[in-house]
Amino acid sequence: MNREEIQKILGGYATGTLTPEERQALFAAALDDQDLFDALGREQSLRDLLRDPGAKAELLAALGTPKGGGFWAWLHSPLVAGLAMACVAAVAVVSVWQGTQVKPLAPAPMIVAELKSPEKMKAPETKPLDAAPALRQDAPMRPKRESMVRRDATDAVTAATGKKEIAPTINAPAPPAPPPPAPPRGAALGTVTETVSVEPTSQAVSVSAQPLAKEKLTPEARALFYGNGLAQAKNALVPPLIGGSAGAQSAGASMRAATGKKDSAVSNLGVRVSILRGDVESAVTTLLDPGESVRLKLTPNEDGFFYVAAREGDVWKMLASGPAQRLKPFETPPLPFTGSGQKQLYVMLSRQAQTLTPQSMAGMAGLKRANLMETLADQDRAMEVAAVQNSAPQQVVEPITLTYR
Amino acid sequence: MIATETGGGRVEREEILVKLRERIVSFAASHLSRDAAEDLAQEVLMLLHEKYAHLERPEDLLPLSLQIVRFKIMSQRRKSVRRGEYTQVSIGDIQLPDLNANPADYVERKQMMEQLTKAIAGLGDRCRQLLRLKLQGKTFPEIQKIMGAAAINTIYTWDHRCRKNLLDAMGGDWERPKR
Repeated sequence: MNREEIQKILGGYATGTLTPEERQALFAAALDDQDLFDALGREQSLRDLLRDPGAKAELLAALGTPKGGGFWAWLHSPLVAGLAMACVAAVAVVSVWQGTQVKPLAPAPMIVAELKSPEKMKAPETKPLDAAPALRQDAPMRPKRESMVRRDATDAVTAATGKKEIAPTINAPAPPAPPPPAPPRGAALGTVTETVSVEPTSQAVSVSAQPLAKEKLTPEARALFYGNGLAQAKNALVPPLIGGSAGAQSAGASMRAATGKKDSAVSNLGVRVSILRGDVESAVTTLLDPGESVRLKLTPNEDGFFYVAAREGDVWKMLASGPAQRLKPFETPPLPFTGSGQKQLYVMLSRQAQTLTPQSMAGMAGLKRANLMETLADQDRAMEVAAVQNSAPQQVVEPITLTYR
Repeated sequence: MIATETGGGRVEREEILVKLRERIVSFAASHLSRDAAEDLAQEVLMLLHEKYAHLERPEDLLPLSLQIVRFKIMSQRRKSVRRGEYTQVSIGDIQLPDLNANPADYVERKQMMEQLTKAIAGLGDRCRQLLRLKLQGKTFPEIQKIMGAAAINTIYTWDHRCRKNLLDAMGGDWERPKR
């Protein structure tokens, strides 16, 4: 131990920190070094003080608690710093890894229809009626509300019987049309006969787009009927066609050429047919009482002209005719049928006014039958829809058979 | 008297005491007069010869002699102050060190403690830790392990600096300035 080191261990003399070797080296050097001896002599007062246990304890108290027990000391330890850095690195690695992951492309389920349970559908309507007796006393509102409840109930029954409404989104050239602007109550559209069996649950029916496209290759009358909705603006541009069918077709062709689009559903003609038994609307297939006076209620999907002819035996008779406005019901006078059995009717919707005989309507019905896509009946909704699929049909003739007991 | 002793250990002890006397006279001369310093050294050696004859090693003799010197210097200073004798001290009046506590020692220790406590408050964390470990009785090698120093010289250096800082904070001397 050189002199410099011995000078440094001088501080251990007062506190008794020196090892025997250090003490020996220090005092041996102090015997030969007057400065070191003087330094030791100056340290003696501190040494005498620190030999007192009380004084030593007092100084230890003044120095405070031992280092290493505090939170900040723990926080400043290298181990904590290392752990913090490791955590930051781990978070960064996970973030980068998740960012580089590519999720497998799977066809997302598309909700095409939702079936609601009867309980769900009834609850919002029936509950307020029961819970609010004051409203029930409101006479003008009651028939309307009951009618709404009945309509919802029929929807629920339809769902429960395994039918569902499928929007014509795939095959229809135009997007699905919205409901009519102001359809008369009780004249809702018919439902399309189910092609896919669906359990009547309250859950949404989710099918992939691919199988749905296969199912919907065949156009439906409802789609054809409502396909004209979005084409109203274009139809409005077409001048009234008063001439013959050839002129009308040429006008339609010129219109299609002008728009540059292919007409399909937007040009379909459709008629919704039901019967009125007094003020009650019923399906045309309803079994009527003998001699019962009924009327036909016809709703077109295009502006045009209605012609209603009846055949009783060999006698043909034009029962009604007149202009028809889109989605506005056209009611015939009471039908003059007597007796029982089946009565044959022909309903014709034509874009143009025509001069024709009842027999010619029957003939056209036979010819146009090939173009008739579907005749749809919904007993609960009391309607029947006839629509034709044609590029530019000028008229649709629907034979109707009424049955009297 | 000391030089007439024979034997290996005795010769070695006498050599140590000769050196020790020189050191004591020089050290005491810085606090007292030269004559008083020589008389003080002689008294210390006599005490070591009479009461501590069994001690032969420097590490035993030197601390003891330093302690005796300090007590004698303090006692003589008090007597000089009391009598007004600052330059002459009668050898017959020099008392043997009294290791028992007395009121004067108590006051001096109290004052020293107060100064030391204030000085410690101004130390850095490392110096405080080092001083704490020293007061806890740890040796320098033990302190080296506790503080994680690579070499013992690092601890020596730290302690040297800390001691200097503490001494500076105390005014350059552990005891209050002498009058």
